[in-house]
Amino acid sequence: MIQRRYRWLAAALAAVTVAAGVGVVVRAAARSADQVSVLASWTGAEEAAFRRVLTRFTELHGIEVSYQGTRALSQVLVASVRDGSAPDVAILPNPGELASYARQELLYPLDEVLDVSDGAAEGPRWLRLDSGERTKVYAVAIKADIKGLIWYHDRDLVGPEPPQTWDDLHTLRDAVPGGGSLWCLGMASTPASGWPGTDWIENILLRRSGAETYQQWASGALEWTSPEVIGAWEAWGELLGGSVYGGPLTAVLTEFTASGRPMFTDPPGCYLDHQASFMAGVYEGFESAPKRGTDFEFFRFPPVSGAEPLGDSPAVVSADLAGVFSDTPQARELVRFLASEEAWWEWADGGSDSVFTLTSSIDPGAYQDPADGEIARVLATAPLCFDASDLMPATMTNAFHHAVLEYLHDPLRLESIIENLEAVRLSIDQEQWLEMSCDGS
Amino acid sequence: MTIARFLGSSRPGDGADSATGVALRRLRVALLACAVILLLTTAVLFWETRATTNAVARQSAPSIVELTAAHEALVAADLAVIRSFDSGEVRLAGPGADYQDQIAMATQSLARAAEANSAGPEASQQIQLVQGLVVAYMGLVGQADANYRQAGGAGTGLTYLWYASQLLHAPAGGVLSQLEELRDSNEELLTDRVGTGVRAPAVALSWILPLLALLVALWLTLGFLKRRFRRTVNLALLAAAGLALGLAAAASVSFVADSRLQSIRDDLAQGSYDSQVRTEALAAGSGAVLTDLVRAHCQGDDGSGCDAEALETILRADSRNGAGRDSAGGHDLGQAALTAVPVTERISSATAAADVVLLAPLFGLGIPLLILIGLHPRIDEYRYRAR
Repeated sequence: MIQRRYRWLAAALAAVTVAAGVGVVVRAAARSADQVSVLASWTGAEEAAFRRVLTRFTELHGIEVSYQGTRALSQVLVASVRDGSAPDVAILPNPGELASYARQELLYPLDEVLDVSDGAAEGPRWLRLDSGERTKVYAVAIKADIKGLIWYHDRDLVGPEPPQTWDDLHTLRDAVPGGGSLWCLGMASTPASGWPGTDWIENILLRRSGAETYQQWASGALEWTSPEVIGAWEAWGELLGGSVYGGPLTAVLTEFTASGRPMFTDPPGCYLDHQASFMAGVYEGFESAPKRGTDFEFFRFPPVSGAEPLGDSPAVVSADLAGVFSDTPQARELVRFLASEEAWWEWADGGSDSVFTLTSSIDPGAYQDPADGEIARVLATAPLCFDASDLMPATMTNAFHHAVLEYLHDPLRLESIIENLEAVRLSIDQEQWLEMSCDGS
Repeated sequence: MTIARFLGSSRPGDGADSATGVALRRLRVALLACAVILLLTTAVLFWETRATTNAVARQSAPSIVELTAAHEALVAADLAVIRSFDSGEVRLAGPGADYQDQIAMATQSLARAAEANSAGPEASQQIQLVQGLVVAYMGLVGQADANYRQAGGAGTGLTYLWYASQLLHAPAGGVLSQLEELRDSNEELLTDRVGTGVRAPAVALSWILPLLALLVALWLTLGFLKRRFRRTVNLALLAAAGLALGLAAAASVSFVADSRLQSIRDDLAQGSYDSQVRTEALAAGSGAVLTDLVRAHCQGDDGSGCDAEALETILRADSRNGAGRDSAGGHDLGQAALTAVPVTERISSATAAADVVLLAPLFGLGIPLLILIGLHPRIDEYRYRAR
């Protein structure tokens, strides 16, 4: 009798133990299967907007997303890859950096994730990271911006027609009311300070020398000591013309997100801010809450002369590209979603926010603000050249950033700055450069 | 049912022997049941105490100590390098030995914090982020040093020094704010762990009630044996009662361990607060020195074209401003080491207390055995008589 009781008890305990163990295993497996980790650079308000997209993804697919945002993206990614804890998906603004991971076979191809065939309706441009003989797709652009728009607040200064040529810009400088500076400038963006200045050089080189020269320079085939490149730097100095708010030291210490603040003071401290399309959202976050279209507008960086219609001029663009470091179904699903029109719709809050993509299916008319629609139209129709500094190998990019800061401090040191840049270019193996730059050229 | 009926009492001559045997077996079942319940509840208590103490000793407390140490070391490193620029030492010796030492301490503390982290994968990611940011900070300091020493490079050097300090002290997303977030989450976790401890009424009653039930049952059993068998002393059952009281004593040591854990929590909270006060003063001091350096450069020959008024807007926006250069004086970062010592001692004593409760199962396992030994001879007698 007692032995039978004990047998029952033992059997019951065994059953409970097995059930508990199975439950733990199943739960652990389920937990890991329902998650994907993402690393990107968005913080603050941009992070909040991106998290809306991730929340929508979770609602649709039941996959939880662990997001980490940092401006020290490169350093964090290098450390995590080294430690074997790379995120499942990383979103970088630098194709050159992604290409280096692809060469190390740390990135997984996306050919089976997205429709990358020629002529695909949904295919974003800048899909392929061509490097030598590699032809697979390793990253997809999920967000894009035009570089080199010139934002302004004071319509009285700019006039009814925005400047059409560089001479018009020089004229504006002379028209600034006494004591003011024409240009707002902010170079600080730790740890990548200096990149706003590289945007200037890129736009100027593109306007002065054309897409082919730009491509050669971006791919490392054109010397920094070439007349075209030196001319671009000198032209920048001439355009600034010493008319920079606060002087060079203030400019290099000012955060790029704060460069436009003096535009909205009374009287304005500066009048024009050469920046990217995402700045509209930054301005609207200022204390005075200016509104696009009403309180500020933009015009595209003009051609050197009026010979070439602006509409046909290439635009410099940057894009945030998503790459997969862990080839899991969850990571693939996330990338597929981020490249979709639905993700853009959520991100742009139904067209009310300045969030742009290279997805050709987005109708520029979907944007509520005409200025946003204009930006989207340019992205959809104009020839596009990828931001050159983002294409360059990291060593070259860092040197380019530094050169901008040095040049602002002392333009007379241009010759030695250029020599140093050229020395860095020559020290980099050609295979580390990307040949992708301008679209359709 | 009364106890008498439970024990199957009967009048002599009415088959009293079999009734006594039934009573003995029922008493044995009741005693064993109370003993087993007491064993289970005290085992859970001991396991919880041990697990909590280990988690605090090996994870929560070290994490907080190391994160605090890293925080202080980074503030000290930033102050050291800014002072080296201010004094001109940087031109000869770079950022300086003090900076190098503090950075080394910070990176080592971060590595130890990463090992001890118990606040989950998100905290691990955040530590990794901080480590990446520290690398970026060191790179900027290196740039500052390299440029400052070049002829005509003072402006660029100060620019990089400013970038480095901003990366550290930025209120949102800066290295120090990330460390503070990590420390806060670890402190919350520690509070949760210690808060749901042995002092909770439900936890205390879960073993006190079975203990009382066992002691009462033993007392009733001894009384029954005295009446039926004229046996006043049953050594085995008395030993069982002794072991039960020993088990209770061991269980009460868990209160001691819990008290010590709460002291650890309080010490760490105070230490974090004191550290925050010190580092804020140091940060304000370093900020004041740095802004003075930048102002001086703007006003000097090297700052040509510098608009002091426009620059002032940038300098005033630095969150550390408001204190003077001397606010860093009088604060000794060596106090960080003092915070760690008493905590370490308390961790040792809490761990020792938790080690004591490990003896408890020895008491517990003996109780059922002694119950069986104490009742078996009497039960055995009645098994043969019944035949």
